[in-house]
Amino acid sequence: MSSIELINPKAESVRRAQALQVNTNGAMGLATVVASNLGPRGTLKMLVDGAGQIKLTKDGKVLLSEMQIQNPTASMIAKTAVAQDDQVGDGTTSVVLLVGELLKQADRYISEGVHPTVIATGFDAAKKAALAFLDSFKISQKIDRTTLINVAYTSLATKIHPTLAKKLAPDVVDAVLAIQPPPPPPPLKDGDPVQPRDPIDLHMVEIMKMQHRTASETQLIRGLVLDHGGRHPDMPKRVENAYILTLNVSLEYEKTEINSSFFYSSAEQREKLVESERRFVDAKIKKIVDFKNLVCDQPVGGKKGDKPKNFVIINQKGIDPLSLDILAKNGILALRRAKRRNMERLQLIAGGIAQNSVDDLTPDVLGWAGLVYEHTLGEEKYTFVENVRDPKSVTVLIKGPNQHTINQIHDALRDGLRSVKNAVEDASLIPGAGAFEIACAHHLSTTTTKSVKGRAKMGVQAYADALLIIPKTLARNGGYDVQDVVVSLQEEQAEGNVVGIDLQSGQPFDPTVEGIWDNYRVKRQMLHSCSVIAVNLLSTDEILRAGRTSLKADNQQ
Amino acid sequence: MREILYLHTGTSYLAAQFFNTSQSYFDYDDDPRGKEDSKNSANDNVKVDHDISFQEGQARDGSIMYTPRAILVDYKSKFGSIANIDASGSGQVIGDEEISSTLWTGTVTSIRQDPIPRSSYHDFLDTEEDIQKDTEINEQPPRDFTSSISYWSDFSRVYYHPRGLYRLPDPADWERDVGWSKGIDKYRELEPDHGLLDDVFRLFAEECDLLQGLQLTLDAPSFGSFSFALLNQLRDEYPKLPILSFCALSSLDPLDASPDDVTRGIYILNDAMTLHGLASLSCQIIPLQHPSTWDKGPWCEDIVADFLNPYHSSALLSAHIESITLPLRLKQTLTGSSEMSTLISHLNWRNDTPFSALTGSFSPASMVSNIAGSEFDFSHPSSLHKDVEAVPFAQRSLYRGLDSSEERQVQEWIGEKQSTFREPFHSCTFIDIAYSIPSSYPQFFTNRSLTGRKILESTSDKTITKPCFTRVKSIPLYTSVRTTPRMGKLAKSYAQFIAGVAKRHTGVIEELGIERDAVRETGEDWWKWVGSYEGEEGDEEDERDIDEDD
Repeated sequence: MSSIELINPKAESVRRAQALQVNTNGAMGLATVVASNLGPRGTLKMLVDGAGQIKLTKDGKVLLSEMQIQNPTASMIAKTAVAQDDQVGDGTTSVVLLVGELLKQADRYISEGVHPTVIATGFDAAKKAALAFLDSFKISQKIDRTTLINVAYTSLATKIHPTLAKKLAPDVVDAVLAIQPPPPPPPLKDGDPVQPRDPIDLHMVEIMKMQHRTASETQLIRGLVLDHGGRHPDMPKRVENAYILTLNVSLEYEKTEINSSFFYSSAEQREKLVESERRFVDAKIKKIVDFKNLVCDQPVGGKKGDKPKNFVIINQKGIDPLSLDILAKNGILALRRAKRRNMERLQLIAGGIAQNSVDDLTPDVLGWAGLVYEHTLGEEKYTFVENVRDPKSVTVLIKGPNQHTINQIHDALRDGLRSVKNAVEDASLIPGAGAFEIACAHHLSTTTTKSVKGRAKMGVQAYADALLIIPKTLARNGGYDVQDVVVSLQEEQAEGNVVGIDLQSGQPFDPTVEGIWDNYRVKRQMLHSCSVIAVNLLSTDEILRAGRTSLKADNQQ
Repeated sequence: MREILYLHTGTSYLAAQFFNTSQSYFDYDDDPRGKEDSKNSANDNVKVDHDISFQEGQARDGSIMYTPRAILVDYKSKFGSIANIDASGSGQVIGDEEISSTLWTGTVTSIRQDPIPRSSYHDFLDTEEDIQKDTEINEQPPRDFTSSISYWSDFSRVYYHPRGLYRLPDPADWERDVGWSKGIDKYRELEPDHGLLDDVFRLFAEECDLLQGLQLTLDAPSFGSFSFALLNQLRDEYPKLPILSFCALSSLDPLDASPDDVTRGIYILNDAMTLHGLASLSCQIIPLQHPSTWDKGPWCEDIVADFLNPYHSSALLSAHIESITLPLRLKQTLTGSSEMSTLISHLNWRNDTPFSALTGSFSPASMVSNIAGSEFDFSHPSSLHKDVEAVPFAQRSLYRGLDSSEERQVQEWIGEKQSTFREPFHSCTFIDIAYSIPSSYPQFFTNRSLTGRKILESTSDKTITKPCFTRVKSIPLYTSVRTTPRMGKLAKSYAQFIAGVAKRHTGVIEELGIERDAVRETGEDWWKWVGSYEGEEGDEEDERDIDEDD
């Protein structure tokens, strides 16, 4: 009897071998659930909840967050796997599979009497060796647009069907390349440290969803799409050659003081106060209108055929109906309550500088767009800011007939964008289709086992065997015989070739030729995460529970 | 336009009751029930400015549809059948064959949970309309749906904008429901991808011409820190927005809490942190004690309510919340300066009293004869109810649906109190719109409330032939919100509790995941509030010193 049960009779405890069993079962159970997701031939899961909500996904992260995981071990693995996704954008399913497999392989040795800590030591050694091997395995080359399109396609094709993936891959690459920060200036003199290039901020790719027509109309817009429109019937719906003023200024009648309205001595006094507050707003509007007249009435460059200049306001704060009315009368299109992030995006797209005050407006704070137009779809309005010079931020407009299709494309695009960003920033790639795992397993069981002393060798061997779960699962999901595939891959690999599994034929092939690429950082993070969790779970000596449900009963999620 | 946005975190039952009632003021021309109402109370209906709480939109068929300006945040499993409440009509049961995903050529496996059955109330709603077309007067006995209601959506009469229904993943059942840092993390995790503020709240705000304020209703144990984190972000963007917040507390009374009891202590500390957090973001807060701690009394003597049933307790609470905020939703000409900012600055005119109390009476019979004794205080723990209450700093009272003789009695009673407590500190409003009782409201009224006073408007003579059950359509109600020195006692109990846990390492703070210094600072603020509510008596300073010494 565990000591905790003396204190709390309701508490449960499982120890040593039994505790490990609970963890192993939890990990393997979770792996079984996600295994069929892996790769371009995996199974799409349709989740329908009790309320009739549909979720279509093949993404390990989405699946893990949607499933209500009750087993504590499984939940711990799921959390780490989801964290992996948050950091590098992919590899959730692989991590879960690897943890399950690592524990399964460990279990074989443990059942023969090897102590779990010995295996854990071996895992640690194997992880170090695998990371070192990963660095030697990566292919660092100049990554051109074609390679990036292959990278994007590899990622997209695991989530959506090949035709759409093919169509979207260039869009994804162009989106990332557009927002990539410029390279830092070269060091002024020799010996100065070279400044690192700023990381790519994927937030500068706006993803806008429109429930309309078909998924194949999903496209890249070199500009910005806002999810709202002008709130006045007389405002122009389409303007060309437009100056864009980005504002963060409240243009609504606001109480100047929160307490100002309490003790009025008369209704007149209140009226007066309201009036003076109104005048304050009107003064701001007047400044904007004057400014508009100043910049728009200037002669249009002198050349014939130039279009007249127009004026668009995009405001992060509110604009009340009276203000809208004045703006509309002056032919200004004004949008209120824009996204905070769109303030930043607009500056990158149209140029100009966002203003926090309407005092001292000068023409150089203005942005410019060739075309700004409104698009109405049912009760939703969209405003497109297009035809801009050299946008440093772009929009991917997702279209789809229903919400779950849109979400599915969104998940795929998210992964695609991340994979391109990773490739650009890593400046190196890993051959995909299971090639790394095959090569690494071979390296571990031949080279590393020799360098590791004593019984920890068994841990290294277990780790090497566990890595094979990735090509095995790819083969199984492709409908091929797992043993055949793995053996033929290993044979080919033994001859010193980079080799992965061709899911069209089930035969070994060279993924670098076919353009199947994985991200370096995803693999690195994957090796880290799975080893850490596996070692933690192996080191668990006792599990205590004083809660509601039983420990021993539920091994599955 | 003076729109109000409604944000409910973990308090969907209250939201459902609130909007069911709000919607009942609508005049639907094509609705047979609406026509009947409009005959009796056409004047009432036009007094409410629907645009304040509802926004116009398009239904699936293209017709105009009004949905509440409401964002309901809750765990996914709490929503029940979405088909009943989602204006976009999602959540309809769809077969596998219809899903033929065009996006995937490979295999598709479907994993289905058992569908949540349609509630008997919604079945009733469908049949009710047919019956009413046949028989002009609604004579069938009211049905009580209490036993068949397991989700708030089961009795909702209102369609919500799909954007406003915000479902969070359910916590695992071995996780504790309360946790300060956990809630904040949960919010931070969600915000970048599923922007509650940027994609949901902002779009509701964009619809509004001139926001009057935000009415926040939250459940402190499950969503306290989550709401705090959300509001913290919101304040960046809306620094001056008036926020009136109703904060449902845990069932534990800080007055008999021990800092050593970790399991209970975390709830109390979480309550204290939540109240403090909201106050630090300049909200006016109305704490609501947990229904399980309510005492029965004259305030509910004609009602057979099960306080532990959220369907019943939310109905009782919502009636008062709806009533006290009703002046904010009336047409401008009728209310003069009744806006949320005015209400807040009235309640908190001293600027250091961010907590006010909600009191009221549900018992129309005893209300007029015994005004002082019939009200119930929803905001203070019942252990404080027996104390004689000092004169409040500020109070807003609202009597609705009284007839002229009743109104006169109330006026007289108020007149007697005038000498000690008068305008502008006490503002008293009479509104002739009785609290309307839609069929979704629990039918927990007993015979007495039917015969004790004219409750039925059109069928009062028929009550004799059907003494037990005829549907109550509306009731008169008294409700008030006040800033009162009594709150000082509650503040002191929180301050003392915090002093206790901050000094001794009992594990309460660690269990909630808060920084010890943050707790200490919170404690300081609570002592400040003790001072501001109890006045310059000075003895609390001494007590505190003793407390700190030992």
